[in-house]
Amino acid sequence: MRFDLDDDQRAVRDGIDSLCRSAWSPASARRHGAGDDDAAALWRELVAAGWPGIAVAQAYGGQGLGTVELTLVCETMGRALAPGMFFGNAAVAALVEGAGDDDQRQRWLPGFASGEARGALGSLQPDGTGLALDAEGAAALVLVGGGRAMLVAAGDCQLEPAAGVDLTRRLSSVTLTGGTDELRGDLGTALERVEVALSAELVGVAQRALDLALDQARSRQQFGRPIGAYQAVSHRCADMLLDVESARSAVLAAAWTADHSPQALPFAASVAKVSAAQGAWRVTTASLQVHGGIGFTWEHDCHLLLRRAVASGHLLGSPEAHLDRVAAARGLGGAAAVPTAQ
Amino acid sequence: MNVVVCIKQVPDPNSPGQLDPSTHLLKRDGELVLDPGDEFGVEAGLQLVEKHGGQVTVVSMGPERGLDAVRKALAMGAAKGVLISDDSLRGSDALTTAKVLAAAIRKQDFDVVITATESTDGYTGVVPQMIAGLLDIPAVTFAKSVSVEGDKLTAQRQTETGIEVVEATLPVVLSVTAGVNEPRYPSLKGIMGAKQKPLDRPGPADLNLEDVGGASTGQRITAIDSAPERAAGEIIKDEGEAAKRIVDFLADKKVI
Repeated sequence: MRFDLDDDQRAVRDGIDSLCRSAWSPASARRHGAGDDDAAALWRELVAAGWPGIAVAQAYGGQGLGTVELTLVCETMGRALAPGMFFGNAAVAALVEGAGDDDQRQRWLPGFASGEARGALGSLQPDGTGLALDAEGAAALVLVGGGRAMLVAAGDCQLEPAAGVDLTRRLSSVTLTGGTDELRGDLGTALERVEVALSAELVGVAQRALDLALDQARSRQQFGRPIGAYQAVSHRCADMLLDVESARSAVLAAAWTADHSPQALPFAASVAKVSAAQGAWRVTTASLQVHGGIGFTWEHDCHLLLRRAVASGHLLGSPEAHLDRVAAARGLGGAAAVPTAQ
Repeated sequence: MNVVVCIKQVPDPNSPGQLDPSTHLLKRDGELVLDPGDEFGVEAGLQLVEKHGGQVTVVSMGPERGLDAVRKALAMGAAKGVLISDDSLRGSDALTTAKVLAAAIRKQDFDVVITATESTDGYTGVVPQMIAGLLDIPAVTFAKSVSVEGDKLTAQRQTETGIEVVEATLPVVLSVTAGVNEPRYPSLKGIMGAKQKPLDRPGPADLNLEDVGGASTGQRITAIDSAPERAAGEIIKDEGEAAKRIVDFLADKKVI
């Protein structure tokens, strides 16, 4: 097993990185969360360059690349605090491709792959309503919950803005007004791929928080020295690096497993989700501490990263639920339940 | 119409470049990127061939890692890459660089050679003109916009006093300024297809460069020093006159 990216994978990572760096910023993320239209332009760029179909099979107009490539894009998106459109569309495409039937694939995948008919991901609540991320303008939603996944065309539901902890994505409550179409195939494996992609995004969030902390530790002077020269700060930064690298390794291992050894995916995906969710929480909170007073201000980006880490950390199964699944996979008791989106 | 675009891989301009004190050469161990200035050149070349047919070939001289920059240009849409990479060329001065690039360009079928105005690491700003001299064709420099009709190239040229309109008969060397266009992002398909595109790796012998005489025959770097700190700017306190003084200042600098 080789955990070094090949030339193509590095080119994919660098390609999406240059697009995100020039087309998106934390300021755009704030405006998007506040209701402005910035994300539409980013989505147009992504569509024009063919990114939405990266992991969709070529038969449906995608590029047919693997989960490793998808996670490279998701990590970069997380680092850029990009809105949920790319992730939601990629997630929904993976769910329909993995757990949908032929009719559902034929109907929806070409639109998800080209980005012309975007998909959005949401959770299915016990009362039959849903909560979806960046779903405005989507052609279809997949709502996941209670071990089921329901495909809903945009015309068969109503979206209302809802308040969420994350200020860089828009949350909508979903009321079903028409029919739904259940994805009845192997939902478990498809969901695990999505969990890996989400974990990659969390690694990107943590990496950005670490980058900001390091900039601060190098540039902020106290008592005539950069604060990073003091062990209380440098040890904290070293721990952050440990968290980021551990989570990234777990995510890459899970992505590789998804493509090459899917029978081991339930364990690998949960390890990735736990490492990324807990790591991102620790790193974003530690970054805030390294920043001192400025990190607590509304204007600073620290809280955007922290909120994203909390929100995504609890999406598609909390760390605790995934720890149960890890334990169960190693025969330590507990039932390996498919996590529900929350 | 065939276009050759000269490109260079440079240390990421977002992190300050450093010189190796023993060799006086730029350190290249950090993050390297396609020179942002060259992205405008590649885009200008792509726009010309999209309008007039033909293809874009990118030519670069540099270390092995420079392949990444060539691949990025191929991902943007160039059809072919040429990378001249040889230890004997390490630390080449501007004239040697121009000789190597000109030798590689001579082997291509070209109507226009596009470059940036200068590299974002060496900043000599003389290579485009040297290439034109070596190829014995006109140099149209600092182009802000460019168009081609038949065998005539017309460019608007940015100068200190205004914009000149320059015409030249093909073939020409054209250096373009940043902002001449908006470089496209490589598409995912372009990125995945870049590796399949033809890539030439000629050595100095293939280009008959034996008489170039080493990397830096014409210059020797004797010392390096930090640039002087920039003087503090003038702060204008607004007591009713500030707008006028700023306008006067800008007018004096010929900005407005």
